[in-house]
Amino acid sequence: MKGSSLFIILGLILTGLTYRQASSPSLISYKAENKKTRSLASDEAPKCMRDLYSVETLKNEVRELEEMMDTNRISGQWKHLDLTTLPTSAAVFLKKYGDQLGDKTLSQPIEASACQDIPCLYNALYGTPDGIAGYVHYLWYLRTGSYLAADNTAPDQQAPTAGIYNGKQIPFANYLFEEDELFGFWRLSKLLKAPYSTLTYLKEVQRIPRGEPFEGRNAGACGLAHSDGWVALTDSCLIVYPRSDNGYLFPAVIHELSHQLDFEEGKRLNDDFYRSQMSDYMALTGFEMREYRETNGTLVRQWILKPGSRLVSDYAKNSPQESYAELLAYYIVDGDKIKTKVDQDALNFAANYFQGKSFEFQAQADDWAKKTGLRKTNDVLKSMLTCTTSECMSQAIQLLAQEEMNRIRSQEPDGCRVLSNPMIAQTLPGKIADSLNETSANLLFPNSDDPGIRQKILDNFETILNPEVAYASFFLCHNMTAECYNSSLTVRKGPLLEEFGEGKETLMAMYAETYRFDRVREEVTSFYKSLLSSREGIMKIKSDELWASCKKIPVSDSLPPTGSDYIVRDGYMASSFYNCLNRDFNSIVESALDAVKLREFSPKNPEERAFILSLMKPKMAEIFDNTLKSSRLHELRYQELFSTQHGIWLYNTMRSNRYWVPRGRVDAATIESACKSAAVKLIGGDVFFHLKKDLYKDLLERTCSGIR
Amino acid sequence: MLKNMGPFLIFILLIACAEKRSIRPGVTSRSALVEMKGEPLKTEVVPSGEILTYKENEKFQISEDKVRASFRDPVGDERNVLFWRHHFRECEVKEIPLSEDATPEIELSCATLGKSVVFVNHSGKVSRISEYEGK
Repeated sequence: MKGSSLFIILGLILTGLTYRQASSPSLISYKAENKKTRSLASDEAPKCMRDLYSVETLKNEVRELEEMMDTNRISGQWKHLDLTTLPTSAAVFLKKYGDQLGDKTLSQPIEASACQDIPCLYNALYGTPDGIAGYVHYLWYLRTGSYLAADNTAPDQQAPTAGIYNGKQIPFANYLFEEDELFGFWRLSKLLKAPYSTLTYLKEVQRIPRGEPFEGRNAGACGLAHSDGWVALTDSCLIVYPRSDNGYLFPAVIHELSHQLDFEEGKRLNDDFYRSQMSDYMALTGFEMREYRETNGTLVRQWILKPGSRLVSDYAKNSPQESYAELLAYYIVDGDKIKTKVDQDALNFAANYFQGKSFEFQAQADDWAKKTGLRKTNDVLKSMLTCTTSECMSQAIQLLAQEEMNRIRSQEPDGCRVLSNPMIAQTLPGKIADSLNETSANLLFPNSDDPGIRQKILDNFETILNPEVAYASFFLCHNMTAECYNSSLTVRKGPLLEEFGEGKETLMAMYAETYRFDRVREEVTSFYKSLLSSREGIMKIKSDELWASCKKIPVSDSLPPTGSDYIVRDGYMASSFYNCLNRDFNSIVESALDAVKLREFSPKNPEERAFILSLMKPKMAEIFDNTLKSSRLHELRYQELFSTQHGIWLYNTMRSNRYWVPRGRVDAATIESACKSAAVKLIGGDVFFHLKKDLYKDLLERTCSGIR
Repeated sequence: MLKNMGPFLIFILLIACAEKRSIRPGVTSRSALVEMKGEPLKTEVVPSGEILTYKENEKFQISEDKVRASFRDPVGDERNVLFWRHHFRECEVKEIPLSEDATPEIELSCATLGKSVVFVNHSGKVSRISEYEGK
């Protein structure tokens, strides 16, 4: 580990040395340049976040996020809406999820011809014009990229038609979230940062109709997470007290999202299996797989737990996946209790997902206090320039500390929960003031011989806070750890701060806090996902071109399917076609990347390109999956047509010409089997996406059944 | 005559040796297994016999002194479910869910070959390969 860190640092030093000359600005920095100010957050009202839950607040949040994610205009139409007039994120939402919205039992699932934005569409479904529901749903999408469903089709429902669950006709309203549940989702959308806010494969969070258990499943479960990218929740997973920071909804939803994280981390680190089934985690939790065959041949695979293993809950004992989901959920929601339940190694494992952050109340308070000085460096400097007496400075510090207390209450999702502890509420203002004093001492004392340097820092504050170094460091380290990122910041930003004398260390710490790995990860990922969504049409064109060229290769299974850039997750594909897709997968993603532009700028920085490619590959695989689905339907339709038009011909041919009958004495089953083998060869047309014998199973059955 | 057949006989002998060295469920005895693979790293009693574990998570199930089944991790293209759909294409394959999870593990089994693989539904990736007494 130590050795690898050394390599990372050496690598960073080498790249850092050439950085100033070699790198070109990233697309996101063009975007950042247009921002008037970077909001470092402050609010003077001494209210809790929950007290600010209003249409007005949420509207502002929507506006801010839409602005941040606005890239290219998207052409097209969704019902009455011209997509080019909408912010990128709204247009992408409609393209991606617009047709899922609404009551699918109606010929017109959504009637919202007066709506000009997404919250209005959702509100039309809730029947509350300018209600809060529409904003919560849309904010969930803006912050997580997934669809908080408002429709009556559950992802794995048994009935083929919408609105039927557990064999009952369910009113549309029962699929919609209740007011308190919506508050819970809003709070969660603010609480959950990367990696939860940057999940690539999560598509949908669906409410199971009120009062209904899951169809065809064990009654015990209240939530389900599927590797296909959906989460479904029943009533018992959605319990939350009115406008409260407490309720089972929080751990339950995080638990299900953690399953998604488990899939995704597994894809990244464990060759497409659950992260929780990697040996380090299994050793940490004490799980082992017991596998054997029963005497009748049935395969048994059971998780067994070593005696003495300490897990978060009884439910966590079911499997490594459940233990992983429980650990992360309670790590976030119940930081104080969890440390009494699991070993330190498990806590460290969880902390790694949050850059070492602990969710214990005292630890959160200490962290806020520590970071205040860094967050408010600008204000401290201003006060230092205007104050001539220590009393003035002391008053200024008190004022800043009070502002920070207000910010914690109103903007930190856990702010008021933590401050409900009287001891913390009492000591935190003092700790914040200490932190601010420390910052002013750091900035003042080392430069006391050169007071001009403080003015220089203030004059150059925007340049100091330029995010380009943070973006570049993220691109370099996007697939690695916060450790890599922080080292890169030091190597790249450090030399740029030399001119600020001994104050540079405080400025460096402030920069690292402003551009923390998780924040930058979230911002950069959202931006590029939005940018790519606006360019999905190009990826589809490239994909279609490749499919067309692969179809020109004669169908053959003579070679085994090879390669794993694109994986067929279900069903069959001819190996000639599969191998063709995999051979050219990377090159078409690269060529699609060449067409990605933000206005006239295209990505040139190799590290930025590598990051964009890492987002484009799953997107391209998703496009392939969709094309595969429609291609299979096409083959099914052809099969139906062939069976209708040529079924009798095939039946008669097999009976009139017996060249296929095996020699000697054979039983009826062998004759039928030989008939099917011969008949399948007479069926015309290339079949790429099914085994021909499976696709024409019914026809072959009808043709050869009873033949003698 | 025999002189000319030399290479051919050596070839036959090699095949015979290779055949003798392979571990076949229902045929290979416990002692033959240990002779070939060495002493196991771990043994474990299960309801239908005993499991011998070797390096790289390779396991053999023994009952009535015979190997009844083996389990191992896939390598290379074996990790791809599609690889096995091709490998089993002449079989009547069965897909058996191994749990009631939303995303269960599935056993894709070809009884004729006495082989099955385990994969996580919709992932397209195989986690385990098992051989057993075929039909």
